Amino acid sequence: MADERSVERHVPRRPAKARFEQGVLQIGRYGTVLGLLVLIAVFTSMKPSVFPSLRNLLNILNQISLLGICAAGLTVCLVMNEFDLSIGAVATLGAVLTAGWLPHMPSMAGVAAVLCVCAGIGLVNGLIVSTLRVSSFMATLGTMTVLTGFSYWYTSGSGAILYSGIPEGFLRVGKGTVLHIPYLVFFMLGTLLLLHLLLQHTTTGRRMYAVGGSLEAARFAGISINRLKILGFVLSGTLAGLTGVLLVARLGLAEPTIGDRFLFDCFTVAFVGAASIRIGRFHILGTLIGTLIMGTIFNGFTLLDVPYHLQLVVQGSILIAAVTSAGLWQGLLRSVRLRSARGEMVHKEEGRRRA
Amino acid sequence: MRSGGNAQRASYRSVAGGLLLLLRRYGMIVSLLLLFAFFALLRPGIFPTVSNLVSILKQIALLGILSAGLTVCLVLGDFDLSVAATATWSGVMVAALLPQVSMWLAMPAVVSMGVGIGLINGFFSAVIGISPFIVTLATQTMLRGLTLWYTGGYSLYSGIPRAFVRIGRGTFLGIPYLVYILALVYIIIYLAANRMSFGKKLYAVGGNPTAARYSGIHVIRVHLTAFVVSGVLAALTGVLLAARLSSGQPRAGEGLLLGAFAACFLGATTFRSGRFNILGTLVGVLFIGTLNNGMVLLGVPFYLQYVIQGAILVLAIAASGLARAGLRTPSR
Repeated sequence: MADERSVERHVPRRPAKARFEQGVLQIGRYGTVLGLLVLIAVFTSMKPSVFPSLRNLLNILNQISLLGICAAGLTVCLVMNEFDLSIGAVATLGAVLTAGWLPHMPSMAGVAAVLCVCAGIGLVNGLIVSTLRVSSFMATLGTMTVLTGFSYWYTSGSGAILYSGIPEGFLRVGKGTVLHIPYLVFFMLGTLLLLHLLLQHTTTGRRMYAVGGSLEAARFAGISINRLKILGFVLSGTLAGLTGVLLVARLGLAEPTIGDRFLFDCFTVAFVGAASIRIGRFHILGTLIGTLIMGTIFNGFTLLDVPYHLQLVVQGSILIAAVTSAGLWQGLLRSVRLRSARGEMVHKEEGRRRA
Repeated sequence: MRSGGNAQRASYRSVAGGLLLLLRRYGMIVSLLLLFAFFALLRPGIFPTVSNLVSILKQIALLGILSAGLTVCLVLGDFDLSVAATATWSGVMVAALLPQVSMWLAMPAVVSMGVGIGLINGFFSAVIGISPFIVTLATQTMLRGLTLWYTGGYSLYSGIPRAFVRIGRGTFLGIPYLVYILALVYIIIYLAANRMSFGKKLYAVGGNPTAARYSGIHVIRVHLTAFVVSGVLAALTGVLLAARLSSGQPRAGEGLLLGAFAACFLGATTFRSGRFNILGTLVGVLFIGTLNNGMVLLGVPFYLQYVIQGAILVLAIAASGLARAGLRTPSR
């Protein structure tokens, strides 16, 4: 008994220091948030009269709203380690169908039909991945190619661009505001909130993380993996479709490459998100941070007249910087923990020997 | 009696398993032959001619070279999404260099840029430890931006010497130079992957990195080499693309990315069990080339070509997956 106590007397000093070190290192989790703040500070100092205004903030939120919606759906798939490469093509198809159908039917019915089609595509993706056991990368690469073909086919009769006969009431969704806040921002915040609640606060969401963590463990825990994966792809498809619908509402037209850039942008945003706060995990809050970073960059660069091509270069560098720094922090954290654990053991050993 | 029945059932199973194994291994080749027969029946005077075969080979040459490099990366499980952007960038770079320097200087310079891009990809993914998917997603975005920035969105076509264009368009003994280059690339990669220690290391690291490390393989170096191979072949593809188009076009290589992945994944269903291999990739490339060529000859509109390509891709992979599932059940 006395031995034990004497051992413990030797221990406290190091862990305190280690705890401090770890506390400092925890800041690394907020690296992307800090990066966002730095970006805001830089743009504010360079364009003090334009950038930090409420109006520009709303503008940024409006610009990123569709990206946020699409990326949120992708996040659900990524949580389960499944890639959905078809989101860009689904968004395009959603847009093309919206522009093609709305002139001929009531807006609500048309939008519902488009979303059903996109949910159906998600269902097909999910079925291919879960029941045929095709890697999601390949399966969605295939459906993406098929859907691109459909979009070209659907628009080929009308000179590739559909713009006539889209009802005014529908277009108001993309341009209207409530209390100066664009409707689209509400759409984005609503989607993000719902998916955040789904992933963090429901059994389904926790099970999705379990599937992503370890497929085997999830299977032995009795989780029906296939159903969750199908649900993930359906959500991803539906939200990509919604992105397409809202694209038409905003732009008033659709053409067969309209949603293509959402593919790479959504992946960038989701991976930057996985490098924030809960490092190495995809989550909706992170996706929101990633989307905000992307929106801030594009907005600031546009205000500074930086050409679009250079924005691509910066987008790539930010992705690498975010993920690298998160990885390095993580490694540092681990080594400090290891060191403190080792130190503890050495101390205990010394204490035991002295006793 | 009962045990006899079991044995009989087992033998049925093994026969079925053997058939499945055959189907799984050579299914892709059978489908390639069927596809060939199909087009030959529908277009007997045009499709199965020597000149059309040569033109198929010429059409797939660039995709084939790009896919060969990608295969080496995929064996390790490294997704290199930057190959097409590297090719586009290299095409633009060589078109920019040609008016100023000799083509025998410009081409190695651009190919060594491919080495650099490969090293950057490899450094961030193997040394720093970021998932290659993200690294190459980022480098491809950056390269796309740099390409658009350098060209301003326009093609570079002035001052390209005729000797350079001849590489992309000339023939020797009736066969285009591009096809010789394609064959050379595949022979080299085949020998490296199957007859040299590099191939053993490659498949060892791809199979189990930890075991590979404990058996004394420098895992990081293998990853770096694979990315460099992929970068070099992508750059070579870009150079040849510029030679074929006699210009550097800022979006020329974009369509190659999906084709290359499709070829590699189709190839992974052939010869080796669910593994990426260079001969399989060649079959995959041939399959895509034959399909495209035949569809054009049949006058299939281009959007339907997308639909058919995508559907065939999913079907082929799903079929091989089913064959695998069928193989797994008897042994359980």
